[in-house]
Amino acid sequence: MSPSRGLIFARTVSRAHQRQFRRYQSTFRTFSGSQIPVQVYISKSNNPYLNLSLEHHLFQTTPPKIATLLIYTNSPSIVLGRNQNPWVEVNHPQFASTFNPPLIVRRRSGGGTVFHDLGNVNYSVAMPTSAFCRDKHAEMVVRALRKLGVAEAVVNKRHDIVILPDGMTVEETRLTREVVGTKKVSGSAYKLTTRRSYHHGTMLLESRLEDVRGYLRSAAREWIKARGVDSVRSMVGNVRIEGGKFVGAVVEEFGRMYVGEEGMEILKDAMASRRDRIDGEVGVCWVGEEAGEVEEVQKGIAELMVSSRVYGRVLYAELVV
Amino acid sequence: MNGSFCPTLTGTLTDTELPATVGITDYAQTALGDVVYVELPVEGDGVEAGDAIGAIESVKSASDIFSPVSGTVVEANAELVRNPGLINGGGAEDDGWICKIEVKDSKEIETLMDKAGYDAYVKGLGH
Repeated sequence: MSPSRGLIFARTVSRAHQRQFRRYQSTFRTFSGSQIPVQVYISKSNNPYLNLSLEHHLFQTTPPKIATLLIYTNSPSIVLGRNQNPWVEVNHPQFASTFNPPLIVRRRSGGGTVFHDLGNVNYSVAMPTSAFCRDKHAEMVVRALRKLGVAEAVVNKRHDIVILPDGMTVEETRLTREVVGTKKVSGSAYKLTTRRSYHHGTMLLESRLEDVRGYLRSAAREWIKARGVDSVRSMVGNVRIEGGKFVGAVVEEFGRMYVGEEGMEILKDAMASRRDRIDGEVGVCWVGEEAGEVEEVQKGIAELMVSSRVYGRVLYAELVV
Repeated sequence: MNGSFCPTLTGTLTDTELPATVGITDYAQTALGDVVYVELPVEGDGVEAGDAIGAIESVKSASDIFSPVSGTVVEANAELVRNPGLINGGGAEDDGWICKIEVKDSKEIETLMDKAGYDAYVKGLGH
């Protein structure tokens, strides 16, 4: 879907939603404006501009002490890190020969280029900066994977989630040494401000990896010495777990971590019935295209969609001939 | 550092001769890790104390830097484009300066923490 059609689509769907599902909109607004200390949001939209803007809006407006988890899945998109050079990272000629190519989006966090599609689930945890730790929530996701039977999942020294080779398993959820032959299934990136920070990551469940390689290797790479941030390439693979099961397990681990067993049960129950639920210290809310009606989210979408965001930054580079 | 982290993300004045030189502290750069990219403010831009004037990327993290004072950015350290690592290894309070700000009201500088106060603050954080 081309960028401009995506925004019009978001508005049309959201008006339809408003008429039929007013209560969903007000649950989202009530919940996100509240002081409930542990908040879970699950996006029903596959629009990467809306999802990243929803993430940013929640990050900017939630009171600092609150812990939030947002889950979203995007339609095929190449997502660049904040300080990367698209001419080095993206294979543009490939786009000309593809019918329905992926969108290209520049996110606000650091790190490298990743591919999002419907087989890839994103999790985003925001917390007070004083509680920020790069591995804490990656280890939480590893616990979720292990509960689903993926015993070889572990966090590596680069804060990514990998699968250990040859059926190897370790007891700890984070490696303290290098292991050769791991397969990366999740990449992480972070954004830090004075009072609040977030960690978001991808999880490759059933992603179309055969499509990814063609888009992410630029032939121009040899001739450009760019001053932006380089991607670090890794062997990647899919975990091959159904998306709904993964989301349920991550939400439960989040609940357990922040509100204990009782919190976990409340969330588990809500996830099973797929109904918004707010209960004391914790709540979960499904958010659809109606998030696009929020003014700050609309502004965020507009910022991400303008082509100068991806290509128009001042990026220092030299041509090497 | 085991992934834990609580830096000061407000720019600090590393040189109180005007225009004020803004950078981050040595403590903050240790907490951030190896700097791979610095987003610099634009020369000529006006800033208010507390505005984001740039960001530092390290370990996949984009960390906003906030100006400690109000005024106009008169110079940004172009060396950081070629060598963002200047901020690490002792340079944060020296060659790794981020920008120089012509301060609107010099009285603002007097209300900021001095080095002794800052060191005590960092100790108080338990690091």
